[in-house]
Amino acid sequence: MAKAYDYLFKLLLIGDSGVGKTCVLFRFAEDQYNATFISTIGIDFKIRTIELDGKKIKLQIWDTAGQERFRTITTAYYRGAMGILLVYDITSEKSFDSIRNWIRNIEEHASADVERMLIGNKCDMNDRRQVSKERGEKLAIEYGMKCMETSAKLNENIENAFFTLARDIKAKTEKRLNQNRPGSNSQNGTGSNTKLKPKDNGGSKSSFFKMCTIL
Amino acid sequence: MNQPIDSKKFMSFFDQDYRLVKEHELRKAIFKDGIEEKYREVAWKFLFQFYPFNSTKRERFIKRNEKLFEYALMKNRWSKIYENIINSGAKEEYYDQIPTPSIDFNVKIEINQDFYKEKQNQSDSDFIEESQDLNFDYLKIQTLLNISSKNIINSKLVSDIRQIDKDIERTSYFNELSNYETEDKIKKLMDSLKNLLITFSAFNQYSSKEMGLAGKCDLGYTQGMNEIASVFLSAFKEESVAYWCFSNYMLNDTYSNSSLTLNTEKIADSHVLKTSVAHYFSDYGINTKLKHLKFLLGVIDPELNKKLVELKLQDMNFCHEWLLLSFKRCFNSTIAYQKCFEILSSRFIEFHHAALKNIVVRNVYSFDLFICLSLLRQLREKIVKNCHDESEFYEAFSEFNKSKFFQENFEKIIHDSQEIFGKYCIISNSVIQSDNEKNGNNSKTFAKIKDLFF
Repeated sequence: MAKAYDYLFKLLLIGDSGVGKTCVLFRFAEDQYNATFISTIGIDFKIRTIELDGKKIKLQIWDTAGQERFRTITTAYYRGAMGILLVYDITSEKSFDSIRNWIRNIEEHASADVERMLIGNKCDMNDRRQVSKERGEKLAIEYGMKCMETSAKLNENIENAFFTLARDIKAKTEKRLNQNRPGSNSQNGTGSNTKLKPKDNGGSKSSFFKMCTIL
Repeated sequence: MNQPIDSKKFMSFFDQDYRLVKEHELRKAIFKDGIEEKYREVAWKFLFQFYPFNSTKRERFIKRNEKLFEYALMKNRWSKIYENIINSGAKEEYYDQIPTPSIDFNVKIEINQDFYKEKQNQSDSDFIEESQDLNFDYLKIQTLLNISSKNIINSKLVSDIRQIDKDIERTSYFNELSNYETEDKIKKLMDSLKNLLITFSAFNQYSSKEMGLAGKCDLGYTQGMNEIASVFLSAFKEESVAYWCFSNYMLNDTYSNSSLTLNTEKIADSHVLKTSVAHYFSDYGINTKLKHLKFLLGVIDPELNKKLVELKLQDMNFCHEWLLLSFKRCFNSTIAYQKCFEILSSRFIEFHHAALKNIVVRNVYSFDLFICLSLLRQLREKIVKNCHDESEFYEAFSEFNKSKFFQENFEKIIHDSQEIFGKYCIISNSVIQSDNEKNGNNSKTFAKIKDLFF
C-alpha cells in the first residue's frame, strides 16, 4: 500500500497548564474552537496532512499535560519530536516565566537540533495582556527561535505557526537528505514513497537527522 | 447480568443488629450485577469505607458526625492558611517563610443535620443511618489538635490551588451538567469539587524531609484527581461524604481495610497488595502499572505483544489515560460511568485472586489491567494486520477511543476481561505447576476458577 504522504513530522506542544495548547491543536487539526475543553491527561495527539512545495507532509502532533507529574511518559515524546511549540498565555506572566524551564526540558530530553518555536496564545485578549509582544520576541531571539502571537479562538496565526515550523523542518530535512546522497539530486518526484523516519535513538543528545532512513 | 442490587437484596447483607456482615456477598453482587440507582449512595458509603462494614447503627451515627466535623475543620484550616498567605502580600518565593496561623479553638462549625430529617421519609433505608441525641463538643478539641499537627507547606498549597482552579472548569462532569443543570447548581458543585480537592492536596502533601524520614510519598494534587473526585461528587449529596470516600479510595491499601478473612499471611507477602490508588498518581506508580500491563500482555497475547515491540510501543504509554482515570473518559457521562467505577472498586476479582493463591498466582494484578487487555483485544486485528508504523497505530487507537466502544459494549468487555483473567490464572498456574507435576491439574484449576466466575 502506497503511503499517502512524503514526510512524517512529529511535533510536540509544551507549556504551562491552561495556556491553550489543546485549543491551538484543535484549531489547527479540526478547524474548530471549543471554550470548554477538558484538561489533557498525560499525552494526546492529532494528525493533519498539509502540502508544502508539492510535498505531502503528515504532521503528527503531540499534546501534553501542563502539570509535569508524569515526566517519564512525556519525556519519551520529546525524544521523537522534530519540532516543538513552546506555548505561553499572553495574559499570564507566570506562563511566560515558565518558558525558560520548558526550554531546559527540551535541552535535557529532545534531540539537539530540534526546531523550536515560541507561541504567545490568547492574543485576542489584549485588554488582559501581561506580556508584551516585544518581550516574547526578545526571548525568542535569545534562544534563536521564531515566535508568533496566536489566537486559537479567532484562528489567528495558527496555520501560519504550524506551516512555518513544518517548512523549517522540511528545509533542514531535505538539506540532510541531499548531503547524505551525493550525486542523486533527483528526488523521485512528488508521488514517491519517500518517508522520513527517525530511528530509535539510545542517546537522546544525538541529532535525529543523522539517523534518518529512507524507506 | 442479573438484577442490580435492590432493596431486598441489599437488606440481605445485614444481620439483625444492622451490621453489614456479608461483605463478600456485597462485593460479589456489585461486581456481577451492579447496584440499583436508589441504593448506590448508601452502598458506596460501605464500599468506600465511610462506614465500617461491621458497624452498628449507633457506631455509624458517631462515625458520620466525626467525619463531617473533621472535614469541616480541615477545610477551615487550609482556608485560614491560604488567606493568611494572600493577605501577607509577600512575593511568591517567600511564601514558605510566612508563619502558619495558630489553631483557633473557638472556631464555629455547624454540621448540617438535615440529612436525618430527609431520611425519616425513607423508611426502607432507615436501618442504615439514624439520628441520635449526642453532644459532640468533645470531638472539636480532639479533631483540632489532630489537624494542627499536620504541617501544610505554603508554597505547595498555593501552587496546588492554582492548578485545581485551572482544572475545575475543565472537568468533564461539568461539561455534561451544562446540558441540563442550572448555572447555580453547577457553580455549587464546582465549589464542592474545589474544596474537596484542595483539602485532599493540603493534607496529603509532604516535605522532602518527611518523605525521607517516614517514607511518605508526596501527593498533593495531580491532574486527573479532579475526574475521579467528580465521580464521588456525582454519587453523593454531601460534599464531606464525597471527600471521605474519595480520600479512602485514594489512600487505603486496597486490601487491608476489608474484614474478609482471606489467607492474609499470603496476601501480606505481595508488595503489589500494599499499593493504594494514590500511588498511581505518581510517575513511578503509573509506570509500574504500565509494566504490569506489558507483562500480562506478554503472557496473554504474545503475538500482539511482539507487534507492539516492532512498532516501538512496548512502553504501553498509550494506556496511560485509561489506567490513570480508570477508563472514566471512555464514557461520555459520569453517571453512566458509575457502574464501571463500582465494578472496579468492588475488588471482587482481586480478592478471589488472592484466595486462589494457594492454587495459582505469583502476583496480584488489578482488574483494570484485564479490562485494558480486553479493549486491546478489540483493536488487535487492526493492529496486527494494518499498522505498519507507530503513527498508524495511534490513529487506529485514537479512532477506537473516540468510538466509546467500552461504554457501548460494557457487558461484553467486562465479560471478556473476566475470561482473560481466568486465562491468566490458568497459564500462571501451569507455569508454577509444571515444575512439580507435569500433568493433570490444569483441568482441576479451571473448574475451580469456573465455579467462582461464571
